[in-house]
Amino acid sequence: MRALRAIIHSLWKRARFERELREEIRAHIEHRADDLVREGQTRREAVQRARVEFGAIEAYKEQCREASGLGVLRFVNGFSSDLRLAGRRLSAAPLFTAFATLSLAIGLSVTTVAYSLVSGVFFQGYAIEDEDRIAVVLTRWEGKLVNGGISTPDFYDLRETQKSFASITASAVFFPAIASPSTTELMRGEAVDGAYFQTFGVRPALGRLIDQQDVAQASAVLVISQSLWRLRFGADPKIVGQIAAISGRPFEIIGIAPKNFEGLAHKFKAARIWIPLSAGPRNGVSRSPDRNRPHLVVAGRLAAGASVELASAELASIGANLDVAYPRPADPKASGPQSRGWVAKSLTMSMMGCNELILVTSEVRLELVTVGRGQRHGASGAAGCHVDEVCVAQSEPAELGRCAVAGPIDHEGDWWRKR
Amino acid sequence: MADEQSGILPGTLDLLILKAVSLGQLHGYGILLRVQQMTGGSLTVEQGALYPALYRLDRQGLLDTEWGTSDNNRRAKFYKLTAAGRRRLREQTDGWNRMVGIMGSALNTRPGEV
Repeated sequence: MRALRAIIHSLWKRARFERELREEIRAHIEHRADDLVREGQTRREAVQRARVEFGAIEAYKEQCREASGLGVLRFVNGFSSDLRLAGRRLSAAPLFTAFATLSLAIGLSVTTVAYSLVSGVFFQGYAIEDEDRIAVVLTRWEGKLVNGGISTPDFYDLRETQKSFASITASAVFFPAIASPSTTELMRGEAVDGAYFQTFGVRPALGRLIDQQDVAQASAVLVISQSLWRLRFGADPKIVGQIAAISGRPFEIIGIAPKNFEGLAHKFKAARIWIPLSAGPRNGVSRSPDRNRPHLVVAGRLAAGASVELASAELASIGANLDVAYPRPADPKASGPQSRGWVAKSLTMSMMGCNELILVTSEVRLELVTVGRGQRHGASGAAGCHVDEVCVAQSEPAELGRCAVAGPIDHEGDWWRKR
Repeated sequence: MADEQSGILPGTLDLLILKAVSLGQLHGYGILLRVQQMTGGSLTVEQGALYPALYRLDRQGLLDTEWGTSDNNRRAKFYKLTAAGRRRLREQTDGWNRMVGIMGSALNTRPGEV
């Protein structure tokens, strides 16, 4: 009875904290908006500007929780009660326990073997420096998380506002025809901004890579992959400085990418060439200023001390501010406009195309929670706070980073073209 | 992290908040404006970064809070200094002044004085 009272008290305390925090931040924004209205802005403009000036609301909320000790409290409460309840349930049904343990063991073994194989085959000696510090920005589109759904103006706003990434870059996928001495063929290319190679810490195998100056001057320059250099140019050591025709337009080859660097997609969708983003329009790469033309793949190197979760919270907040300022088109499957729903995802996970892995992991988690849940309602009668929190979290943008991974992910950089 | 974001020396944001609140109870936005007034606009605290610092000071028992109505007739959470907060402000102000004196004297040392 005392434990039940403690749980209820803890839940009540947390709910009150969240309510007051929300109200306090709203009051801050309203006060700032009042000042801006006095300076001559309309109420709508003033509120929008006040929200932007406040910064990443969800990230600051999380910091407030940490500062108040509730971040730790939540973890300890959830973990210890899950553990206790699962233990009680398992000891009450030994046959079920044996079956559950066996199925989990088989599931985990298969997953581990698959993960090890994929990791061994696809990520051996990958050329990106500290690739675990690279995160890709995914966008929610009609219920799916997609890679490559950010418009040029949104990217500029994101780049200006964000603090989670030490360096952030955008690229667009295109499919040009490349003429080499032996043949002309269509292949996958990436039009990149000046920060692309620097963000990934990639160094050229030969020559140099695309930099800020190339993008600023819209130079017709080209970097080719090591495999293309070997297969189509016979590993010619004097290739730097030669001209290659891309969709009929001459580009100067300035460098060869290092071995094992093939862009942001996985092996089967490897990029073979890179050109400056600004040199792209005549090759089918859009630079549309329209916010409803989401065509950029955005990725960045996490700043020191920043995590994927923190970056997700910040992205969700920036996306929510942009949703207010520049609403997206209506969602045919729901009422009202679609939110940007930006989520950061580590590059390693994003590239693997490992929906199955994530779903298996989610199922394992679900099973564990279900084991605890059944007992929680049956024996103690306590509210299933942990599971309920997950359900609530799915409607909160800041929590998407944690919850949305179980949803389908489109790994096509050019997903919007298929529409 | 908040201090890094605002470009203020580590630890000084807390001191500025304590000083601002010592001049009269204020809500979050009021504290921000008071800090800007006190520093002549030289130091700009990023708005959102203020709140983690306020919650930390509240948790340490240096600030007390109560809900009230602001001059704009809006419901707001007001912060005021506790006895422990006043004591901490005094200690940190003394420490800061002492450090400024030491650094000032060190940086103004002439060759003949060494």
